[in-house]
Amino acid sequence: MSSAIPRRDLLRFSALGGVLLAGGGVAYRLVGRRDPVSPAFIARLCDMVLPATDTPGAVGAGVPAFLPIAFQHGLFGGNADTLGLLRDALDQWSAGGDFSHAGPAEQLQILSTLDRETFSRPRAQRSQTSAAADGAGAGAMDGFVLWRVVKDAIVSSYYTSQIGGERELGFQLIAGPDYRADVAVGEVRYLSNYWVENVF
Amino acid sequence: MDSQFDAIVVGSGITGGWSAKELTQRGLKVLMIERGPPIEHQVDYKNEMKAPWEMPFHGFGDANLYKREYFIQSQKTMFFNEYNQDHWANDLANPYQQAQGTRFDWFRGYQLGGKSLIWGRQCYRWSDIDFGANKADGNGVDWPIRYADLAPWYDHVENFIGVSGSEEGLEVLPDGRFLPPMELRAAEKRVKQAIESHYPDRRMIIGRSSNITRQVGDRSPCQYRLLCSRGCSFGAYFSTQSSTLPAARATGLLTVLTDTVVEAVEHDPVTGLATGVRTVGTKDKKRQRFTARLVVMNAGTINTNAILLRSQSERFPNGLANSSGVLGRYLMDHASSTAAVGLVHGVDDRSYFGNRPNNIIIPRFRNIGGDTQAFHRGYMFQGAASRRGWKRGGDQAGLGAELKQELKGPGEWTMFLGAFAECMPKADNRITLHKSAIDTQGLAQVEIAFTFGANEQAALRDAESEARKMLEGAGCTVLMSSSQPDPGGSSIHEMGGARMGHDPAQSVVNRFNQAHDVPNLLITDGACMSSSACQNPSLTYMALTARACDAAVSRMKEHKA
Ligand SMILES: Cc1cc2nc3c(=O)[nH]c(=O)nc-3n(C[C@H](O)[C@H](O)[C@H](O)COP(=O)(O)OP(=O)(O)OC[C@H]3O[C@@H](n4cnc5c(N)ncnc54)[C@H](O)[C@@H]3O)c2cc1C
Repeated sequence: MSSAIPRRDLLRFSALGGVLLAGGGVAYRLVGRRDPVSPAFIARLCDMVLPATDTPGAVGAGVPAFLPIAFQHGLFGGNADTLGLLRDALDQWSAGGDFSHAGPAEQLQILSTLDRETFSRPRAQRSQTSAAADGAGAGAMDGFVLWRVVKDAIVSSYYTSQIGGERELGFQLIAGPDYRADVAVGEVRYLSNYWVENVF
Repeated sequence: MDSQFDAIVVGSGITGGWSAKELTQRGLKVLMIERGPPIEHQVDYKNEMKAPWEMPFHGFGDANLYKREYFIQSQKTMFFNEYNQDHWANDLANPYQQAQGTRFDWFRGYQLGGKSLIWGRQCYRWSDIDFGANKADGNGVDWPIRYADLAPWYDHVENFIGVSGSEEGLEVLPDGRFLPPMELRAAEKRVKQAIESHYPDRRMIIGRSSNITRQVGDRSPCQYRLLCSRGCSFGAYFSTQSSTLPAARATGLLTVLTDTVVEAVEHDPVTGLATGVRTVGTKDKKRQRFTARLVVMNAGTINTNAILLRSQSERFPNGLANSSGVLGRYLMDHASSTAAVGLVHGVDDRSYFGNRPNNIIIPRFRNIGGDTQAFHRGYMFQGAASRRGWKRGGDQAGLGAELKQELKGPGEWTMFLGAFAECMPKADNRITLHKSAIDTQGLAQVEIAFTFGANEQAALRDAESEARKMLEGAGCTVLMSSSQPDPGGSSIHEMGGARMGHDPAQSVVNRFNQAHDVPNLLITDGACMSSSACQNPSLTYMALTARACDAAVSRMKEHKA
């Protein structure tokens, strides 16, 4: 593993978000600081995932403002502590103990490593036909799941914003006569509003 | 005493709409009673045209609210969302009980139009194989009707609602009066070709859907939006609002009463007839009585059973029309599972544009023709191929401009095959009234006892194994497969409890859906089903309803009960 983060720290990260199954619900074991997450931290994460290119990125689309609200309401499998826990973890890996004040290159290196590690781990299978079929364990969290949650939230929030959904991709609510069941990829614009796709 | 109405229809969903239409068009003055609020076609579809960024939670909805108040309904992740959440019952406000050690997820739409607003629109005829199944293997009572009894009524319903589909000439899935079929996607064509060349007895075809592909009356063809469950102002799929309600209202003979729960059906022990219903208002709690010469039960399987169980009298201490003692028993729901999902290769240069509100099916091939299995009956597959969309960005490694660039176009093709297995009629799968728990109206809560048995499990194991083989045979990489049944109720094809049969000692209704015990009481929703087949059932409910209403009006005209 080529990384700024030593393997033992990654393991610690995994334990950090360890699961407490209490009263049937999933709660995070909170460690570290509890002070509020700064808007600049959230914006930086958003920018590293989906930056401005020829279209505005997640920051320009207003994702940093939406994310804390989304988590407070339990969206994307997160909760009010999700961003704080992630911030605490990232701080621990930063040379100066503060991810937000690390240089952009260091920040990117830390996040890239975490991203690679996270998605090299298989996630739980999902049922297409009933969320209940996934069972109670489906919502269980470890540290890597935390990054899955936040990254999924950034991506989902961006492509359902007007900038991501309509400017970066295409958006056409009524296909009508433009509808094509089977068409060459290059002939049609890719839409953000494909409401149902297979999950697994 | 003169009745206020010729007929009372309890419920305004798929079957209630049909009863109202058929009865008013035959000249009856009808009162339709609905527990939920009114939703008027077009004007009340408040989120129909909204984009995600116009919704408070981008269309994903308030997950904490869902955990608190929609804890059952929100399990249906493919269907339930922020745009249509008001078209589903609030679980907190409408509690029910599940018998210890059993599970039944009860999905409900409590509003004018019922579940017709949010259903999946798949429409399949049953065949003689289905109507003869109980008799053939001795499970359940024999149906007193066969395909020939229902065929003209299937025609009648399909001609009115509009069903798109392809003619296949299959005994197991009789063809209907179809509008032009929708086209398959590239990956589906590839898998179809492979399946049909490896298995001469199997077919993969486009779903038969009440999304119309041509103008039907004043309803416009489907616009390929897949916003159906928000309500469709084009009237491009069958719902009470788009189809049966306008037809019934056009007669001038329909009165609609919403926000009113039917508590019980009243019965005159002297005449032996139903005289009307007792109701309670959901908002004002007002208690009322309405009288009629005919009462039609269309409150949806479980509520119809509950109303009849609540309708107790000296003559019927265990519920109206329950001299047999079987009322509430033999509840069924198809056993469903995510049988297999695979990556489809070799068609990455093909895509689609717009949202097709339809899926593919593989009709039943087990225990028919020369095929014999260790389990009874069969299953069908429903599924679709789609390209992974931008959502994959949250599910794979990658950051920055590269990730954004990658998500500009579609991802890999995946093919999903879900199984619906026939559910055997079992006496212990049962709806009762809870002894102490009451609902918001002060009425006894429903208790549901439900488990799948060995037959359903065996069918789903076979379905998983066959789904894998079919996908692998088409060169797909299988990503996951399962034979684990979703919780009971998940197919939302709940049926039974007031089953049809020849013998009044063993069944609740006769071949024309009249209660054996109470001839002017019709039960025409899913409650009347004696077996479940493996097809989506609502087209059959509609055909049974139209047929039963026609027969009832003929009897009334002859001054019989
Ligand atoms: C997401 C989803 C997908 C589905 N897909 C399909 C499909 O593709 N094909 C298919 O065949 N079926 C499908 N179904 C099932 C289909 O919706 C039902 O079979 C059908 O709606 C049953 O019709 P019904 O008239 O019996 O009940 P409903 O449509 O549920 O209507 C019952 C009505 O009665 C009212 N009511 C209940 N209790 C009372 C009372 N005490 N007093 C007054 N009113 C009362 C309810 O509020 C409701 O409006 C699907 C269902 C859902 C939710």
